[in-house]
Amino acid sequence: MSWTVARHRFKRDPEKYTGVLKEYWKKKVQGTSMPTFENFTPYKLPKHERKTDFQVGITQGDLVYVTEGEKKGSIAKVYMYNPEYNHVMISDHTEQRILPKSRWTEGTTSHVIDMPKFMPLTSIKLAGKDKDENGKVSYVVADEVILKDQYYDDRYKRWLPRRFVKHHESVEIPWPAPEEVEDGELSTKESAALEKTWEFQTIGQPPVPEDALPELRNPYSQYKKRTLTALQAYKLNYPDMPLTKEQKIYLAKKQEQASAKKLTPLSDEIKEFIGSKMADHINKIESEAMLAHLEGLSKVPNPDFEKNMAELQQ
Amino acid sequence: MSLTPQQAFKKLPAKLHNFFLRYPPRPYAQYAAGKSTIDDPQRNPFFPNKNTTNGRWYDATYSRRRSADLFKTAYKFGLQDLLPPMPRKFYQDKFDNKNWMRGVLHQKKQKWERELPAKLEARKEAIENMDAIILEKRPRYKRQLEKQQQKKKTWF
Repeated sequence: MSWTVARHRFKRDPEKYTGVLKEYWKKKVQGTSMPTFENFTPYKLPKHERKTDFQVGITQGDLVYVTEGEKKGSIAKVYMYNPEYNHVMISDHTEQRILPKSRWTEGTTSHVIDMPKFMPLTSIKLAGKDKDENGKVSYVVADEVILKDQYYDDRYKRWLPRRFVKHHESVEIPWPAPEEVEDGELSTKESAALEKTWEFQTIGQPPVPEDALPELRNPYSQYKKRTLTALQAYKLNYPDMPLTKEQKIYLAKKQEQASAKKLTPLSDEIKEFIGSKMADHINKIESEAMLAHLEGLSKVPNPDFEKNMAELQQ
Repeated sequence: MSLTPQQAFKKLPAKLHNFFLRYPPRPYAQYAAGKSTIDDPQRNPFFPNKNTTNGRWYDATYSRRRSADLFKTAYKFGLQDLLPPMPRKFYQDKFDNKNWMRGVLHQKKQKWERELPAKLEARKEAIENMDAIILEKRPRYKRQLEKQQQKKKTWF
C-alpha cells in the first residue's frame, strides 16, 4: 500500500458516513456554534450522483416557480445551481444572518446581512415565460421536465439538450440566454480567438518539401564525406603508448612461455607403455558388454584432439 | 583374443590421448600432489596454483567435473595411475579412505541403551552369586542351604 492510498484510507471522511453516524456528525459539527451562526449544511451528494446544470435541466437565468416556504407561489430567477448539494440559489429569496466581525468583507457595515438561501430542487418547479400578441405575460410551470435530442447552441458555443414539459412534449422551454460578459480593455476579440493560424503537421506531409532540402543544406559539406584524410585519421587515433622496461620484460617472458607450451606428439616409448598397460587391463576383462562399452568409448570423437593432431602433423 | 600393446593403444580414447599430449603419463613426468605455484614445472593441472608475483590463486586448469571425467575414463582402461594425483577419491578408495563422521562410527544412543549391557552383566553375576550375597546379610541362611543340600535328589 502506497502512502497516498494509506493517507486516504485512514483519513476521516464525513462524506462517506451513512445513517445514524451521518446525523450524529452533522449535529456534532453544528453543536459548537450558536443557532444564529448556524451554517448551511445540507447533505452533499456523493460524487458519482452529482450532475451539471444542463444534465439536471435548470441553469443560471432560468425562471422557477416556488412551491414551498415563505415565497410559495412566486416566480423567481435562478442565480446558480450547486451540483454539490443539488440546490439552487434564486432571486428574492434570502435570509438574515448574523455575521461575526471577523468574517466581514469589504463594504460590510452591519452584523446582520442578507444571505441568499439555497433551495432544494423539490421546492421549485421550472417555469417558462410566454408573451401573447397583446403583450400579456403568462407563465408555464412544468411539473417535470424531460431532456431530449441535442442541438448546437450558438449562445453557449456548445451542444445542449432540448427541454420539454413532460407529457406535453410540444411545449419546449428553451434555455435562457447566458449572462453577457462585457469586453474589457485587455480582452481578446472572439474573431481573433477563433482564427486558425496553425495546422497540425504529420510525417506524411513533411514541413519542407524533399526537393527543397539540398537548397537549405550543403550537400557537399566536408562533414558528410565518408572518407577521412590521413591527417584526420592521425588526429582521431591515439598514438601507441611506449612500453616500460617491466612491460617489455613481461611480454618477452610471455612469448617465451607460449613457445614452451607447444605440444609434442607422444614418443613411441610412452605409446608402448600406455598400450601395454591397456592391453594388460583389457585382456583381463571377460564381460562382452564391458568390452563393447570400451570399444564405444574409444571411438568418441574429440574436436580439440583432432585440432591438436592436425597442428602436430603440420 | 589377447591384444598387443600397439593394438591396445589404438583404442585409447581421444580425450585421454589429448590430455596425455599436454600432460605426459606419470612415470615420464612428475606432478605435485597438491597446490603449487604457477612457475612450478611439476604443477598439477587438477589443483589451483598460486601466482607468487601478484599473490593470486589461479583456478585448476581442469575442473573437478572434467578431472573426474578423465579419471573415470582412464579407470575403465586401467590407466588411472598414469594421471597426475587427483584432488578427490573415487570408487572403493573413496569408501575406504572416507573420513567418517564420529556419530556414524559410534552411535550415541539413549542413556538406558548405553548402560544396558553392563546392567545385564551385573544382573547375571548377581544371580550366579545369589547364595553368597544372602549369606553375607543373613548368616542363618547357612542352615537353609545345608537343608537344601540334604534334600537334593540324586539319580541313585
